[in-house]
Amino acid sequence: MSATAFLLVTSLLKILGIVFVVILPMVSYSVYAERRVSALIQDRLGPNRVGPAGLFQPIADAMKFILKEDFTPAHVNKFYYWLAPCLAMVPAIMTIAVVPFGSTLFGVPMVIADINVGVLYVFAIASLGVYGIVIAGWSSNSKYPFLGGVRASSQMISYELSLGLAVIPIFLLVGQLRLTSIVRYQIENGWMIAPFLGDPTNVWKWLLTIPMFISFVVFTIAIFAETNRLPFDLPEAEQELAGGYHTEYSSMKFALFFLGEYAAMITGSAIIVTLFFGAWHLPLPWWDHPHGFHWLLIDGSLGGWRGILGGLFNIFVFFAKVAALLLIFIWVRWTLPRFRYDQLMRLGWVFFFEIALVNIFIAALIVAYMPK
Amino acid sequence: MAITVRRPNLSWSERAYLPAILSGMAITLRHLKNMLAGRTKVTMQYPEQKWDSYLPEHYRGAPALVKDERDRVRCVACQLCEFICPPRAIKIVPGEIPLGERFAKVEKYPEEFDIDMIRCIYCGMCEEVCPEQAIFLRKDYAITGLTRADMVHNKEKLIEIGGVMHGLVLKWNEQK
Amino acid sequence: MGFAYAKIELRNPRRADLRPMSVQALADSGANWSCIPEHVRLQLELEEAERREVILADGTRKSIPYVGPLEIRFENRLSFGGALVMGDQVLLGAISMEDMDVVIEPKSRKLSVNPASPNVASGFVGQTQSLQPPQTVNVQINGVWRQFPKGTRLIEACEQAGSYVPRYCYHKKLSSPGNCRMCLIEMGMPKVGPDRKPQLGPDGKPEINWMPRPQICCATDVSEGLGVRTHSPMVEECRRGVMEFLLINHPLDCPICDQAGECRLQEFSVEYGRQDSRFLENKVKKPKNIELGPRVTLDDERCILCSRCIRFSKEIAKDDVLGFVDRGSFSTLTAHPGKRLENNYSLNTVDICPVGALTSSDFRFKMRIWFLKETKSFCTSCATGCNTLIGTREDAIYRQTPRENDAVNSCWMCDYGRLNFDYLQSDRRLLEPLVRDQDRLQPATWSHALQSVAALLRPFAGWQIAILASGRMTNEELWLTARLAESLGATLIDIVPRSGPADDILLSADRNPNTSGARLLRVASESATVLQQIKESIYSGQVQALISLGENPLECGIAPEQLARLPLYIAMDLLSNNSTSYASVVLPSLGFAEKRGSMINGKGRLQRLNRAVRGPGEARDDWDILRSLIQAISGNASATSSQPAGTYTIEDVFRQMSEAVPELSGLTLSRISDLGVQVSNLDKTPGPPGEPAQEKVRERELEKHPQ
Repeated sequence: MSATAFLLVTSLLKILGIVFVVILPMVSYSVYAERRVSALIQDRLGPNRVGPAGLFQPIADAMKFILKEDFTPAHVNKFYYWLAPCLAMVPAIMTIAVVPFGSTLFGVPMVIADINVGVLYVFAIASLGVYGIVIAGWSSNSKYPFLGGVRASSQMISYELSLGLAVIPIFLLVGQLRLTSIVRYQIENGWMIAPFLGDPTNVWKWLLTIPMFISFVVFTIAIFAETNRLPFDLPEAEQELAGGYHTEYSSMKFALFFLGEYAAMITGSAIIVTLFFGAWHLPLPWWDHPHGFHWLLIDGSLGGWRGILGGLFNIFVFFAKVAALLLIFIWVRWTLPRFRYDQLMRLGWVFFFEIALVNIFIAALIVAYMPK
Repeated sequence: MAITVRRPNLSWSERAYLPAILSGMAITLRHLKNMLAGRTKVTMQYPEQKWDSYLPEHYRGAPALVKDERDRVRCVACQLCEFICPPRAIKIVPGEIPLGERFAKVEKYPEEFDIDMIRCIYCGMCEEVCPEQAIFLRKDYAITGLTRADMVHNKEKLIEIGGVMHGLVLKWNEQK
Repeated sequence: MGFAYAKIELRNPRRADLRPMSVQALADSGANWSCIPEHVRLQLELEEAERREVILADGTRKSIPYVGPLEIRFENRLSFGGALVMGDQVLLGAISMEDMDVVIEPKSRKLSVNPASPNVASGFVGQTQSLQPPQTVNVQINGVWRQFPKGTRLIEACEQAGSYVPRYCYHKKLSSPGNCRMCLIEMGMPKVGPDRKPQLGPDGKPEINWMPRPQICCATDVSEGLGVRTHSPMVEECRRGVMEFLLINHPLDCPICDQAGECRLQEFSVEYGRQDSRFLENKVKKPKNIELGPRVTLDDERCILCSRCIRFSKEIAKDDVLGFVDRGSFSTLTAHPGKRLENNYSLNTVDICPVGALTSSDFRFKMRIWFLKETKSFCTSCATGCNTLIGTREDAIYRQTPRENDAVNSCWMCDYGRLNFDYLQSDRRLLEPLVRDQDRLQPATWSHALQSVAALLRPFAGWQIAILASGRMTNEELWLTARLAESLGATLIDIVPRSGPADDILLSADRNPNTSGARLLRVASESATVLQQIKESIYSGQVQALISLGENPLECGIAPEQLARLPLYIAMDLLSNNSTSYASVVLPSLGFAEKRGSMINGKGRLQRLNRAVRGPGEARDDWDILRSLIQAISGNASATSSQPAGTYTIEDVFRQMSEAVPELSGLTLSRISDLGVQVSNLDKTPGPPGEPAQEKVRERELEKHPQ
């Protein structure tokens, strides 16, 4: 088997595996989690009838979506109306391509496309997501979807700025855009969220924690805004816009929007995990090391079953981190009320943009004077 | 006259939002925790558990026609409930009790008495307005049917739900 | 004394169609009478009233005709009078000049209006008794002095003053026995000083000497200086007491009582009574559910002995069958032994009964009155046209009650008319147009039915077609019927007379409600001569096509075999009857309560029907059918889409009619008052019982409804 064919086959397997085995089930179950967690937060029970503890609820939901009448209103612009749901779903899934979701498995790196533009690719694709929403809003030819579309476009453009600026300190530190390099850097020098972990005695690392934490907060909040999650869900604001851009959609087309939103949430979490939480890296403490206490790095580099176990463990760690972040997403959603539109814009342009900008200078200064 | 509400002066930590957000999240987390630990118990698992034994005395369920101790349907078809009913769920066709019957003194009775339970809003106005203590809201709440016609309670059904009510004013007794 | 020439205008006031003549006249204050030459008389077609002897300047005497009436106009002045036909120029005499209040200016020798009163003719008149204003008296009601004409009932005066006095026995159209004691008020007369003159208070008005005990105000007329208090503590205490007494034996069966909702006892109990009963003893038992007559049911326990029904029967219905028997608490209303309350006005006793003692057997337990929507209309069962309220709920008629109109029916109506609405809800109602298809009448669409009528009528010439209109049609329908006849070229058109025994109360011998309208619109012939002609022509075979509009030809003397032999018979009716089966096309129409329109009653009063319920099925408004028929026949494109002459609504029809008929000019359907409009004085017989003559009524009505 030639190297190219091998690459093709493994890439295809990775794509199928990650999309159909991981992302889609995760999307369905994050919806389920959303419903259960929100219910628990509100002292309710949530869906608990379908299957044990309601675990088959996503299947029932999917059946329902498929069986619902797929209604296309007469007044819509048909082509764009059909195009919009695809445009909402596709970018969300495509972004996952550059995310290293594991170390190696059978010697194959667990990333679909390890490209050197890494994060830029993520931003490039993720910003296409707004087209799905804007086109949906416009082609529905109805006032609430239109308002939703307009809101979405200005909101996402505004927050992409802070999103982009927030990750610059990381690149200043790593010197590369390739995500696998960033992961490697984090394994060696401690996670971006806590650079001091790599070398607790180094004062510079402690100093570096400040801009990195600011970066993390700004980036995470901007991801909230990018994924239209509460408190930034103005484009779909049920109370004001009756669902916003997807008001006129039904059945599977609506489901695509719905899934796209959750897929975007998962990719967003995956990016956060990759950039700030060391991706698949989870050091285990090892007290019986010959040289005393040591952090044990587990990855797929070992031979035999140990390597396979290690690779699987890394994938599990990655998605466990993603799941934890998703829970935080849900938790935030069911705690905070929605911003007013002027507050949202003010927050984006007057606070986050400036904070991220200043943060770059702080990080740059630290990096410049930090001894190598 | 416009009333000017003074805006509260916020402290620095309040203006930063994040502490408030975190305390809010602590609250929701506490609720989540309590639910998981089973300390909060609010929801009733409906079809398995039922309200019946918890229903208060003043519960307003399905309206029904009651009979008195002498087995007389108390309604005299005055149609006040039909008039007061906000969703116009009640329809009555009055009839005359022929001379010689046991309760001929009452003269009037409902030939037909229909309550459309699709329309009924369980407001209890019919019970309140009834001058004869003939219609009461009972504790039935699970009113189901497969067709619209099923959901219309006719006189027989209403009497069946209503049953016999003791201790009411016996207005039409012969001495009065 | 002097001469002058003046330009005057002469006109014959009786002949509006003749143009006025403008002539140069010699004004001669030396002559008494005006003179006109013979040619003026001929022009104005003046009639000779008498001959007069005149003495000419040369002393000769001559007998010449005196003609009139002649209307003379000069500038802004006007005079009616007569003139002598004499000479060759118009001469304006002193009488006419005085009448117009014009003078001859001696200087300029010109005739001019009296400069002292240039705009209005003025002059002296002798004052006669009839011109004096009616005598009024001053009455103090609740502290306010007001004036009322002498002879006004005190209870009416109080009502006019804005303080309604509750009453049971008093009815304004009946005598006042004063037996219910509900209208008790506090009354007083002016204080008289030692000098036998009224003592004046600080405001210059007489002071009132209040009587210590209450008086009833329904049997008292106003008098000078009378003082009344309708809401003093004593009065309110008295009313509470009277209410308590009235309710002692009254059963608490409001839930089953038909009067509930319009019951005076209920209303006054709430307004003036006490909340609870102090009566612990057993109530007096009286007969219940008695058939007092074929249409009236009596419940004696509910009776409060006001005697309104007794007085109505005696005074208005002239059928004195009711009375009280027994005494005290046991007093009972009953009919005279062996008699029943079965006169044709018996249901009016139900209307005036302030409680539920007398109820209508027809309406009994049918519907509670608070559900009824009341539509102002009038009865179409005879030419009287009694004003009514039609009580309906959800497109069903439940009852008719009389509506007060002093020019037509006072407060009453007859039982026959009142109950004559059942046929509108009959099973025999025609619900859809029927067109004959191979010997069977098949349901059809309206457009098909109307086109069929037009197509079927096309082969026939005007003299082969006869139209049987109805005196039950409204003016608008009759007007369109006449237009239909015009467009067909038919001349055989008449209404079917319908008569029955009359009484001298309200019921008219003419049982068609709109004979007057049919005559006015020239659809009806005098004494049904054309109808006779139609029958003969059908018999002779001259008439080949018969259109009957709301009439059954079999009931007006046309034999079934003749009808069967007719090549074409078209029926428009609301009920199917034995003649509709012969029809080629049957057009379902609406009844009196289902449509708008106007009719003219036997006394020339134009009244309006208002729609109380919607018509059943696909039945259409009669005027709409006739309009569409005319369109279909005159071939104006498709009959349902294009409308000739802008006839879109019944208002349009009335407008066209009012433009063509002088009696109706200036009126629109909506402008007809709820009490009707007198358009011609067809009948000089007196008005409804207990009502003053027609003119008085009109004056009163003008007061109530200023134009």
